[in-house]
Amino acid sequence: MLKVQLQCVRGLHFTSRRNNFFSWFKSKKQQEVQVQDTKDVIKDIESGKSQVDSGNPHDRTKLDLTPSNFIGQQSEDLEKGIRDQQVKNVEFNRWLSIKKVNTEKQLDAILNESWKLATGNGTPSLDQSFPDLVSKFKFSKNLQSKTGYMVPDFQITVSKTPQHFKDYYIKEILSGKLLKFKESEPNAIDLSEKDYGSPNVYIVNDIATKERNRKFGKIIKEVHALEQENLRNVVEGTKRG
Amino acid sequence: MSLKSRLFKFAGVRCNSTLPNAAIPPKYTLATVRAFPSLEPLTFTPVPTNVLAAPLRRDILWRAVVYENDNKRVGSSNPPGRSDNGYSRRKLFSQKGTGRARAGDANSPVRSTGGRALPRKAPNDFSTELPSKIYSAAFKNALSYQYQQGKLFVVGGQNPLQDTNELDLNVLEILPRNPASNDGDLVFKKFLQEYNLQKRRLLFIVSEPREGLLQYTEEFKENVDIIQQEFVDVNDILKAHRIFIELEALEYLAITHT
Repeated sequence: MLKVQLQCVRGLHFTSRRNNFFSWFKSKKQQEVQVQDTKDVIKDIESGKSQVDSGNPHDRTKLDLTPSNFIGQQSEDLEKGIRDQQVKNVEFNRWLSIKKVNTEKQLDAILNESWKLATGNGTPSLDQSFPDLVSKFKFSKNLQSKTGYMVPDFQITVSKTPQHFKDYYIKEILSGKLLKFKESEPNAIDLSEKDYGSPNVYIVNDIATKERNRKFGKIIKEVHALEQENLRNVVEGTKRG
Repeated sequence: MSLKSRLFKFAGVRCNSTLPNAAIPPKYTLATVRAFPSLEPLTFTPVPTNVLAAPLRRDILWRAVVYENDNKRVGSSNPPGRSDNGYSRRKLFSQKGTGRARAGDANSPVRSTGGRALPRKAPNDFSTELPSKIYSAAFKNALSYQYQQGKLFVVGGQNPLQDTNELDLNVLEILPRNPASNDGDLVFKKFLQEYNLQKRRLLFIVSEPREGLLQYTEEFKENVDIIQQEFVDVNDILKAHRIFIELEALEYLAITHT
């Protein structure tokens, strides 16, 4: 039976032996770096003397022409920019119009056009029911694609005539309700003076968060300036005193 | 008046006498079948109202959510009982004659260093029960809630009224722009941008494993849940900001929870 015996020898020294005791101090002494005049350095670079690459990136006099070596843009930002551009170039079947409907007149025109497309009938009537589901589908699809807003399926189901669709658009979209809607605060109450005609009712209008932050930042800035001024006065006062 | 005729009167579409607005409630609601990822409508499909248009029952939803969360719990608490505590079973001192109160062994739960009385054993079981009919009702109610909020999108391609665009698919799948490139994540990101869904929690309910969808949504995995139809919970449906469901999966769920 073969026995492998491993002898564990504990090393007492882990540096090479030096004959001269003082060499230890000498090795630890920092090498003095010769300071060169900037003009000489530039001359060396221009004449090509300092082009030898020692392998150490700190010794290099010329940087590689990579985007990360340029001042002004971080590589992450660059990558993000490239990626955003790539996403922008992706082809997408955009069936909803980018131009959104914003007036009742535009909506009426789209409703009439959709009705004609769906039924093939030249005399549009908003109160007429849809003859079948196919015409309702064509109508609702054209309406959504032209107005730029998607209508929920439940709303499509309960809408029997083009007038119902129009009422939905006026109530939910053209009134500005959809723009104000925040998904994080779905039950937020929005009050406006228009809803209350009585002179003894006064409603403080809601101020947008951006506007509020801007005003708050301005106030804080002024407070800081005043504090600095006070501090300066106190310091000057003590110096004189 | 007989019961039958009274019921008929109540359910009649046009009843002029007592309840003029009484009408038979609709049996079906419409769901738009769409292509993915553009969500372009292809056709309508009728879905029973008890699946997608049931009135909201918060009480049933609450019971189903509690039931699911109870069943998810796994406890590892394993406190020592009097037999596990480790002290001797010897009586600490004799029953009589010491002048002290009676005492058993050192493992007695009345002593501070004793074992726990009636201890539980790991894994602890917190599961509760719920009648399957109630759970099914909750499931359909959760789907109905999301449908009525306009957050449910059905994806499919059966009996389309128009052709599917060449950039779209009839299933919840993502393909790269060309087979050589591996850039399906760009397509998904474009989809998120188009519908402003970047910070929304999305639920994809698929009828069978979709490798492309799984692979290319990796970057957005914190907000994207992809679940096969058999494993969907009421919690998943209620927590999602948008639900994308394949038509086959909707049919499966409607049949399973009937």
